[in-house]
Amino acid sequence: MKEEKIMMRRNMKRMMAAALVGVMTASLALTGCGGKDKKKSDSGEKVITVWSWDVALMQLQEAAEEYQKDHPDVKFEFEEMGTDQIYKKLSTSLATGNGIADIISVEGEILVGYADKFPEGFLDVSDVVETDDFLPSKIAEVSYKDKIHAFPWDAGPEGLFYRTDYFEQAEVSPEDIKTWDDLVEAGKKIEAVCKTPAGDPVKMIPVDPKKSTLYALIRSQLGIGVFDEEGNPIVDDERSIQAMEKTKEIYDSGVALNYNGWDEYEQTVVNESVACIPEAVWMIGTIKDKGPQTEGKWGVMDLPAVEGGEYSCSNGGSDVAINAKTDYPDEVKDFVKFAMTDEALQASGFEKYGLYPSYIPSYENELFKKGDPFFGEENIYDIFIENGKKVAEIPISPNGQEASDSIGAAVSKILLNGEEVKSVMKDLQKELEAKFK
Amino acid sequence: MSKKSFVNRRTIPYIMIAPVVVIFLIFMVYPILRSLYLSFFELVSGSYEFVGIKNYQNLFKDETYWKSLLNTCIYLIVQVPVMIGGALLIAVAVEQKFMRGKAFFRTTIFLPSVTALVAYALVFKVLLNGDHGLINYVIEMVGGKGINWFYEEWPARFAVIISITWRWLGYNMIILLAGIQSIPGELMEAADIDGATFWDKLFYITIPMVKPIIMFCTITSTIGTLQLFDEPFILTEGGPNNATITMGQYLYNNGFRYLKFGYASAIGYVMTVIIGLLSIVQFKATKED
Repeated sequence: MKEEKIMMRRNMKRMMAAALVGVMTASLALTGCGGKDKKKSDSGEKVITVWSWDVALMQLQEAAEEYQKDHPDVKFEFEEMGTDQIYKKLSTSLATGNGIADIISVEGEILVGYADKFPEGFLDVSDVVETDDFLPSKIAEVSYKDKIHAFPWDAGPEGLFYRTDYFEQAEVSPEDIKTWDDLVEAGKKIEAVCKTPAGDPVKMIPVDPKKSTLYALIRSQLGIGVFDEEGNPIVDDERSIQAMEKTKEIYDSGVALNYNGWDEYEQTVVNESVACIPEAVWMIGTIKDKGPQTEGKWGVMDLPAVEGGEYSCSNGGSDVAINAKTDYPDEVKDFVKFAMTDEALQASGFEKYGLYPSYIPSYENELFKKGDPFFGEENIYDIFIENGKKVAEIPISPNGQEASDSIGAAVSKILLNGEEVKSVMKDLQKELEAKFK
Repeated sequence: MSKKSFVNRRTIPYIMIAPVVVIFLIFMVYPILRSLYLSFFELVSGSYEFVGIKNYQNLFKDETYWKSLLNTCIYLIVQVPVMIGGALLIAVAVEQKFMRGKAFFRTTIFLPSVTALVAYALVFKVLLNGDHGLINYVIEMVGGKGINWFYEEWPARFAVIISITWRWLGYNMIILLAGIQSIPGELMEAADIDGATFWDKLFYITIPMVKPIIMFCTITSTIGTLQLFDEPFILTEGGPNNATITMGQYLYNNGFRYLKFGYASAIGYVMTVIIGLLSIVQFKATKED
């Protein structure tokens, strides 16, 4: 009797274990839904999976169609995801090494974080990237610790978008704006004369006084980053302080319009509340999209200069990374190279989706030589092409995101709380040194 | 013996609860233990390196973390009493005999808590806009001075507080309302006969009777406020000068933006300890009476 009880208990334990295993596998299978299993169909087809977002995804799909004409054995599977979704998935998949797509779109300033935390995560593409063919600033963006972690794709060289109608009303000539000081002067004239459709005075430029954007722009013009080659913070450098002082000057002059977040930034176009927007080339898309009523009223000129600044600035753009554990490294590399260096594709990607190529030979395409009716038939691309080449090769750091948040807080202290530039920058330097020692 | 069925009277309960237990173990217990383990590590070049209590030491030196803790405390001290008090008053008002259209008020006051989070946050962003916002328009109309909601530290905090109060007041109101409705009618009638005023009834009957429910609302609101993330994330992005950043948002930044998973886990654990301590204090406070 006693024996039987023991046996029963043992059986029960075994059964519990079996049940546990059963449920566990079931739930593991459930959690595994997101990750694609290795696919190799019977006919020997190669299936390449792609994670990307709206416009980048559409452009890669078109490239895939072209590619399949010569490579019928390669099949593609596209998964559309938002940037946040991709990064969350990428963080977890790289940590476990499972369930990553073969091709992944990554924004330029985000890439280095992954390259640093997961040095073996992405395939080294230095053998297929001709570094001289791409904008130097984009090559700097994808290179980290002697490895090229991704194919450079679209770039974000900046220019100054301006409203020709407001300029005419206030009798300001774009030629008069050579420096940021000129911009401030012109801004005062425009604010005195021009009114938005809602009846408010027109401001000169939109500024988010909680973000590092304007400071980073001017600092880039001075050719310096947040970190030096060794990754030490250098925000107390003379040029960095100069950039912050100029930012303060512009903001304090009162010609700036505050905005809080991306939605309000777009509204400056909708409400026609600013006369100028210093922004990257992709802003063309936003302006056309949000301000269809402003057709023919925009022009583009070079960014206002800062004393001693011989460089230009870029903002945004993405890259294409390849999973290091892909089943078909050669095919994937071959496809990405095709998609990134086919001139016709690069030109159509820009025309349709505003993806401004970083592949220099594609600027020879006719598209970049003709005018855009939205911008008064003027050729606006020359400025971006020239500025793209003038962006300094600023050392990148995996701590860039965190540093940029700290700088944003420092900008708030200076612009909103009226604190003194030099002491804030000194404290900021100390803070960054303590964080990234 | 060997042929005896595994499923019998003794084992069937365990089989029945096994799925829940297993799923709970995998999706709750394991992540909780794993993140405790992770908080002693940091990701360096693709692998986790043991750093001991360094993450916790850094946390105590991290100004942004202290600021996020301070902000969270401010939200807690200002927002929870205002919201619970407001919810109680509205619940009492809605239950008054002379009140017409009770169902209408109950529904409309509860509605905010079912609205989509992003939508409502964006609406508040428009309402509180410094130049064209409705709220400033009203303030200026009655002779006040428009407030620069998102560009000054204290107004930005109050912008967040106003938004979360609007969203969660109705939810707490409904719970308190259920409590008020369960108060026996005889008590109120007896009080009326004794000549008690509205305020007497509120302080000597209603509040003591629904005290456990007020406690429940306070505890859930406290936990909710400590974990606050979405509103500051959308309304102010944590600024200006980190004046509105919460612990939850700082955790998110560290984990998903800076890829410092170990540090983020450490923040999570400190948060857990704080929430645990506060809950114990609140439970104790109710038990004493």
